[in-house]
Amino acid sequence: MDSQFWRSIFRTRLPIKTNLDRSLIIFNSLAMHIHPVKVRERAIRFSYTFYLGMISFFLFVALVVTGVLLMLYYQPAIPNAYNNMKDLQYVVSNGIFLRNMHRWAAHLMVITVFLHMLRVFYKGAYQRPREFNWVIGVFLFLLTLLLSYTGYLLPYDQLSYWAVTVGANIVKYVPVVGKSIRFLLLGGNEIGEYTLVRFYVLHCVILPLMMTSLIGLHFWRIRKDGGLY
Amino acid sequence: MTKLRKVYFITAIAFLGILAISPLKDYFSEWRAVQRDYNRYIEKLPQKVKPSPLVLKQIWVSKLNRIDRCITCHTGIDNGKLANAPLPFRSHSQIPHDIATFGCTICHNGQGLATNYSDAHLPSAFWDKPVLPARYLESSCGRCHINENLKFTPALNRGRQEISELNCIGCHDLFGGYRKSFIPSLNGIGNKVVNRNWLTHWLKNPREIRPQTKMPNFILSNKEVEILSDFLMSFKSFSNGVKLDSLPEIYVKNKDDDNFITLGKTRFSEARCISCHAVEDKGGHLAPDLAKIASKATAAWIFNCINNVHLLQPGVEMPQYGFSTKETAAITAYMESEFVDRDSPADTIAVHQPPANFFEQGIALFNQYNCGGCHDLSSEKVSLSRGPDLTAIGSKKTYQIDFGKTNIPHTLYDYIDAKIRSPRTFGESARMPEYQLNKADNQAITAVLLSCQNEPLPREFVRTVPPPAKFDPQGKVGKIIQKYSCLKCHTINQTGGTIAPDLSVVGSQLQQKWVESYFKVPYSLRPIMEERMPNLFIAEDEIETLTDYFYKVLVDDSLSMENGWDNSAEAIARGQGLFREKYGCQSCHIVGGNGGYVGPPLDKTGNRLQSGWVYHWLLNPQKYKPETLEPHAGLSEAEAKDLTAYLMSLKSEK
Repeated sequence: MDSQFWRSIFRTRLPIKTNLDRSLIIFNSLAMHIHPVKVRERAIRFSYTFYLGMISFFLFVALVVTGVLLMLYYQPAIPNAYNNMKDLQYVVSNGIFLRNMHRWAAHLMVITVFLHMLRVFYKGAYQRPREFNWVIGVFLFLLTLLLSYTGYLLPYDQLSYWAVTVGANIVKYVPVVGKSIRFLLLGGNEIGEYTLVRFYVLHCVILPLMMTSLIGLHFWRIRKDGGLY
Repeated sequence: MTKLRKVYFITAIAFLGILAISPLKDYFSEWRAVQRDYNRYIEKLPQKVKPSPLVLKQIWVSKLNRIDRCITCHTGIDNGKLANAPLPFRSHSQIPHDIATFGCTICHNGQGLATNYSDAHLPSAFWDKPVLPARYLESSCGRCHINENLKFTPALNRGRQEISELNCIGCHDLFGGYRKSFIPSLNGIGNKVVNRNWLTHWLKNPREIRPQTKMPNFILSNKEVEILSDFLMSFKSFSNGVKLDSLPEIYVKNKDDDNFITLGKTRFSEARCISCHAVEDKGGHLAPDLAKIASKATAAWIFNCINNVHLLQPGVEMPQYGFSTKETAAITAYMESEFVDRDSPADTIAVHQPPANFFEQGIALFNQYNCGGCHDLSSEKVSLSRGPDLTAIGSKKTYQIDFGKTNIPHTLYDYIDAKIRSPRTFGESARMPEYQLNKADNQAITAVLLSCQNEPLPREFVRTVPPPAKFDPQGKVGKIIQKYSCLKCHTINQTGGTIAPDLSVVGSQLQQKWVESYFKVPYSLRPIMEERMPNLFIAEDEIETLTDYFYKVLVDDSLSMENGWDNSAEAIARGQGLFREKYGCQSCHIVGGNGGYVGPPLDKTGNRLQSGWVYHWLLNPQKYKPETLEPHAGLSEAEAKDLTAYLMSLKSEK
């Protein structure tokens, strides 16, 4: 347990004897260093935070995992996109499970992120010194919604087509730049193959990267701003 | 803490259990059960059939960008041993297409990607092209075989014919090169019908007066009928400003004279009017039934019509007979005395005063219902208000259709079928009239419309047959052919009717003398046939022009007889032997009073036919007339020559 090899991988020396050893486990672990060294017991009670932030995060992880698997079967092209949905449903092993999991996790994430905000708001957890983390949280909420919206077009069925039509038309009413934003979003003046590619890249690359970065920042700020409130 | 661990443990197990559902569902899928059934079924068969491995199967048609997984369950589709197996194992019926290169859904529709029964066959929110019922299946043939009438597609051919006859293109844009068929012009209708009463009855429901009419029922309100009647009655002069000649004195004087009427009756039957016009359903159906004509049209109109129908109705296919004025008047008198509707309601209103603005209201209605789409009417205010473009109706999505309050299934074919059957059920504002077609015709038209799609197909799949070039003789001959409407019954160079023989190479088939005499007294060549050519009373010089044309233009040089063929007595005797003994021709043809009734009697062949034609015909009848019953007996050339010699020796003594 004390070999060069073990030490090169795990930084903590075993066995754990003192409180310092215990805290070192936390410090030295990538997954756990997010926790403060000391946590008040009431803060980890279910009724304190309802675990809403963590549930949202785990849903995001589930979405990334299922999403990457779905990407293996998906082409952002017409009419292949819709046919790929059919393939997932009828021929890919557990494909429909994968797709449903992605879909339900996305719906649930919107709900849990929203409830998380409610909890933070009513607890007054947005107050000093956590004001900026609230701002990051708002951006995270917006990203969640945008991910939902961009993912909606990808099956390319009637529902998604019209949802995006409506969405894009709402964007058009932004003063001055509305039409340009719409053009940018759709990759043209009407929904077509380029829109599909644009939404695909947004949904699978740009927005998830922004999301991951902001989640990291959000978690880091929780620690630095004094733990859970 | 132990309590929390218990909760963790139980939820973890529960999640694992839930996760197991998905692979289980995969394993117990419907198609696997079907394939197991298949393997069990073929074991019981006496013949040996290879069992199916339990795998998904599909046909990938890359050119059509289609993947059809139908063969996953339709396992025996290409196995001829399973022709009588139950569905879905049965083999496909014989078709001219290779299943592997065409796939399934290009013809049958349905969701080829699906692997369970209901998703693959039935309409759903995620697939609006369910499997086509057999009654519309031919529509798929029509998607590639554009304008091509195949013998495998009777319904499609029928539908195309109906569309053309009902003049759907009068209101709708349609794909397929339909030509407008003849529809009477309404010019002069005010001087044609006996009274306004007839017109109101007609407009209310044309089928009630004449069940065979092509005019549909526009379901007009009483007020609309009144206005339209007033409006139409105001058109007194015929096309190009033609006015009716008044009835000749001979008619006025003799119209009630029995001898005069008998003359009319004789001419009426000599001219074989009933070849085209039925009288109380007896006779042809090419032209209107004449049983009640005298209660519809005025005597003056009838007289003028027989005299020169082309003046009153330009483009009509009725021949213009060469009757004298006396004969024409006599026929008019006969029709006036005989063809009266005894039950027709009397015109109760002696003098009808149309409302002041009847013309404006009338033209508005005329345009609203797009009457001008079919009927010609000389008025500057006629404008076309066409119906929807139907060139891509077969590609219409179900969500684009307003099914209104109807409770028909939400599929495109049910919609089209119902729309043709009762057009007004989908909304009060619809203008389309009711055609009251029988079920088969309704379905045939639906099939044609379903075939009108805009999904691009690869070039090598599509077969477009250009509409045949129209044979349109000009000059003197052209005028005569038009005057007697020869092409209504006969075909020349792929143009014309199919009732009577093709005349494209008549100059190489018949003898000139016989043709000339036949024009004067036409008779039926086959004793069992009722139809025969009407006596058109063609003038001498016209006969000369026509025969001249026949023998100079309508000939086929390859049909001439080689020089030096043997028509000696021995050859004739040999031919007779072949006729009587070897080929038994008398079982169908009459010679010398004995023989069958299938083919024409051959007694006067030597007076009627040309030897070259007889010879070539005998060698291969189907080459010249594919549908003929005459067997292709495989005669040697020597036999054909002997037989020709014999047949050409059969002459009447005259």
